[in-house]
Amino acid sequence: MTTRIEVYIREDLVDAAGEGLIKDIEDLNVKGAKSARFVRVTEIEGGISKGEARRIASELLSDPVSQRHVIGEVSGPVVDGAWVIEVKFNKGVTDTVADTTLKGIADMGIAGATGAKTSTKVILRGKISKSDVENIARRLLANSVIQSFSIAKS
Amino acid sequence: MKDVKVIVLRTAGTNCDKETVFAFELAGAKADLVHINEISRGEKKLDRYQILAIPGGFSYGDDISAGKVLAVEMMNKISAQVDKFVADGKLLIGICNGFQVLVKTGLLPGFGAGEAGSGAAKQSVTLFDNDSGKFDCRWVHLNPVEGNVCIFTQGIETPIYLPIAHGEGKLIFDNEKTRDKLRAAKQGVFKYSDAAGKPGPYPVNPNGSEDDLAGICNATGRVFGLMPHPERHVLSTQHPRWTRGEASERGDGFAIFRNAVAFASMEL
Repeated sequence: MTTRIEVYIREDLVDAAGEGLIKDIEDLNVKGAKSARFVRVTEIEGGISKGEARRIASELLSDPVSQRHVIGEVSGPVVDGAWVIEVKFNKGVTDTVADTTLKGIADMGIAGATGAKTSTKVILRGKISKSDVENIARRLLANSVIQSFSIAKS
Repeated sequence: MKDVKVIVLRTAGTNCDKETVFAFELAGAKADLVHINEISRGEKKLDRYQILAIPGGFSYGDDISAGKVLAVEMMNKISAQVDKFVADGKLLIGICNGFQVLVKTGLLPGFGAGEAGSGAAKQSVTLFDNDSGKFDCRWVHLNPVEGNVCIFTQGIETPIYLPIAHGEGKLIFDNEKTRDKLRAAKQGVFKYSDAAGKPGPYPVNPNGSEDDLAGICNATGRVFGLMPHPERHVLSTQHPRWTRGEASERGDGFAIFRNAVAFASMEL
């Protein structure tokens, strides 16, 4: 069984990485990008109960002051109408953050996690074509040697 | 003067541990560098020490967020010892990554905690991505907050000069109530300022911290955290312009270690 947890910065706080990405997009000479927000995705393999998933999300993977989390996928106003780019590691690539996450889960006394994977989602808003979004993903977000990406319009 | 024993806690990714040991020893204490596993396995006991220091670095690679994994480890594996240490009124300092750990355990500012600031407190502040989105590594001025209750900084009345090295140092409160409570209890210790003690936007405030705060303590003043690195400025020759005669006899950070050791020697 896979439990997916997504964590993002509170909407009223600056997403500094997102603002940096907007500047990088301007440097690419792509026009129309208005805002970008990052979402950190963790997929946990193994027998995790709903209560344990809630604990992992609230106590380990997110910060109660600066972030919000969902068990499953972010939906609703946070993503509505936006391009969603997800960047994942290719099979066989070491995922050190996932390894640290498993250590943290074990420290919490939760025994059922057998594996983990992490990925990054970018919620991109603005008047941008799909080919420009692909260009942004390829040139700025994914390293093709170790990562692949998918694009969806929410 | 009674001997003072300091425990400097390290784990994977800690990298300011030896400087912290050096600073405490320069101040006259005996400092042991101890891996957290030695405590969780029962090989070392916190109650044998009067001061606990959580040094800077990138514990567990800053994976998930800075200080988070070590905070979770402390809360789940050694919290009984840490709570007793704080309840006994002993001194605890977190520097940079150690400060991030202390806010993420709720030990700072410690609102809602038990006796003497011990016990599980709800996390009410955090240290978050710098507004610049960049890792800032340079020297800054810190103005002591007048009347603050911190034991470590007593007698520091004019701006001091210390280096910073962080990407997640913006202090934010969960709400206005927490900010007001911290102000009323004089738990703000240092604010980013210019050399004359005047606050200002970036680059004076390097990360966008609310209230320009660079360091806070708990209500007893015995648990203290700060983003800048006092252990990197305990000698005059660590000042970036010491050859131009700008440094004083001791580095500005030394007073923090000297105060802690003197207090522990007299009171603990």
